[in-house]
Amino acid sequence: MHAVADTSNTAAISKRCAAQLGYVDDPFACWFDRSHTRCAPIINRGTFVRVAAIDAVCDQFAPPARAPGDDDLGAVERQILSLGAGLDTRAWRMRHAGCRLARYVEVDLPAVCDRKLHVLRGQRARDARGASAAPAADDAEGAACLLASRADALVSADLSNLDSLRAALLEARFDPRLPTLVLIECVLVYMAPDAGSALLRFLAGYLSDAACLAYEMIRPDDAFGRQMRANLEARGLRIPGIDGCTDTRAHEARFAQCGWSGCRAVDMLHWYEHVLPRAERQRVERVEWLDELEEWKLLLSHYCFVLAALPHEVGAHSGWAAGLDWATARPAIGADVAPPPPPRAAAPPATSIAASCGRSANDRPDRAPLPTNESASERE
Amino acid sequence: MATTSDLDRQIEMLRRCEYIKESEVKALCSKAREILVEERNVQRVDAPVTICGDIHGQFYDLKELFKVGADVPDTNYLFMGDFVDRGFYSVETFLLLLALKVRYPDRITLIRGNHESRQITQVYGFYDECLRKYGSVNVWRYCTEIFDYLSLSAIIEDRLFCVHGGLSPSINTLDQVRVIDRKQEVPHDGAMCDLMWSDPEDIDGWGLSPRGAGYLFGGDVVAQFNQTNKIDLIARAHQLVMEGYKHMFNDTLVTVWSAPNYCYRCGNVAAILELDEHLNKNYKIFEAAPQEARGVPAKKPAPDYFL
Repeated sequence: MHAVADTSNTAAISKRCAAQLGYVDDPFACWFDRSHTRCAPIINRGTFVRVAAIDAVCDQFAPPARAPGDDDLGAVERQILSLGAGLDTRAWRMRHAGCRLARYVEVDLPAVCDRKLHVLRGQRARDARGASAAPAADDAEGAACLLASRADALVSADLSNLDSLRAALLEARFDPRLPTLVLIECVLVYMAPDAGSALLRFLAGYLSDAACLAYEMIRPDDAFGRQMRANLEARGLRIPGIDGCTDTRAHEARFAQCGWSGCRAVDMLHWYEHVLPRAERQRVERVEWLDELEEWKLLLSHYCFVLAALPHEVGAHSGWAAGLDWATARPAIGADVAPPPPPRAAAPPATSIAASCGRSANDRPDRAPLPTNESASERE
Repeated sequence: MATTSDLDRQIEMLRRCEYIKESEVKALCSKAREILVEERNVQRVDAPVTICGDIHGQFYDLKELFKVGADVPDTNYLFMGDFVDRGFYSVETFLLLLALKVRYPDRITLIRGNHESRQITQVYGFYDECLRKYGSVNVWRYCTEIFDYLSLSAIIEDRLFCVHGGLSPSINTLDQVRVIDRKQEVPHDGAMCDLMWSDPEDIDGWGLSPRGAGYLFGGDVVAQFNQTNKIDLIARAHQLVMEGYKHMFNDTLVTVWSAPNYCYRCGNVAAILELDEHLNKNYKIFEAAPQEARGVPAKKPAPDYFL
């Protein structure tokens, strides 16, 4: 598999491990990685930060059912466009939480889409064996029946080639006039700086009412950043996009140059220390004992989140996009312990999902029994 | 009973990053225990000596360290703990240092770091590595039993106090360190825990540690400790320093870090601190072993970035 496409597998391993240890509530992550790889605590906690920060924005955009503010949404149809979605499970998680979402459209390289559909077919077959009344697993109804909802779409494109992206969006019957949240998670960094800017400029012209959330690497020029680039290049993964945007200010400036406004970028460490509610931070700090604080700070200061909105023309749209901010898009406290809302039609119940993965979300990864009575993670 | 020639053969194997037989590990640990049990909680060390910080299983970088600082027994070494976890070769790294200790007990001093612990090694790699390389946890068990015998600190010529982490609010004098019953797993709190977990910080007095163990201590605490115990300098490790070493509090404390490109990811240089017979300080900086000098780990490493 191409190195860029293979990053989706790496991300899937991290997310499965973080879910398994209880950092994030994601009963679907185990579909996309069936290994027992145990990631280091800084990767697990960092994966939590990545998922939680993006979740917080998504939840503000399309709140889960019965959340405060639910009524404010009225009949507005909202959609998420995830570019370079990889093996991400957010579509299932949002559907499962009953988020008010008209569509969730994912775009990625053909190899990644093939892999995702392959996994979903396998999962459907497993589900079918578990419940004999279910129809036989095949894609007679097309890929759509494998997705989180019939309304959703998974289409392939090369994001460096805008013609291929246009064709993919057409194929997905994507409506650019609906309020749209664009997710760009570790994508621009793998593209040439010009191609990344062209993509953002295209989106600014194509969408009429949108916000964008990007999550990218930064700071390639210090010792950690140089080593990061060298290590990734040693496994064939080039990150030319980092040269165009070496820090949070540069990301804001680039979005502004590409037709977006109100750009607000924060590095991952800032988000963890200043945006994440204290109670939630205390919860994740109890999941595993992390003593590598210097490395943790180094790692997190080399990634950033960028929020941007399209300029608000009077009467053009409702203005929700400019209202998204890090100050308002904060994770709910204790979201992990709240009972899940009843699943919607397309989503199977959480218990059967967990059972089909052979373990519950809070299990430790399979490993030899601990030879002592205490484990490090018990320590607070 | 293992002879010196057996030991020399094992050292040669370990220097090549080959691991020795489980039965040999057992014998080595039993021999090491006889030596370590005699050591004091504040082990006396004579200058000249070369002080080293965390190694963390980065075997090929330890070989770089020995190139820069010369081999045992030509140089007298003091290693301030954290031999294991994180790197790919904790087994070879710890066993080499332990074998050198047994072979040249007066030329190398090993003190305990917070990773020399049953609990921490189960999370940070040494446990898994032992299981993978030996097919059972016996070697992990022998090694963690030896961890309990490692000294807690060292004092060089009555002038320099060396410890893995730092100070403890329960400890004012070195005599209070001397009376700790150290032959146990690293506790969750108390003096022994603090010595291995605490960090210096630009604060007044004591603070809570974000690590969840040990304390933060300020320059005034160090000044008081040094005055009380008539010492000039505290040398400690425990915290990654991108430049390899870092002085704090008007040169009354130094952090020495000896794992270059820590976790194969941080891009930092490493340092060792050479003290001559007059306790003059000379820092030697070194980088990670070149890629071609290091072996390839047996399995694809777990994710180390967010991709």
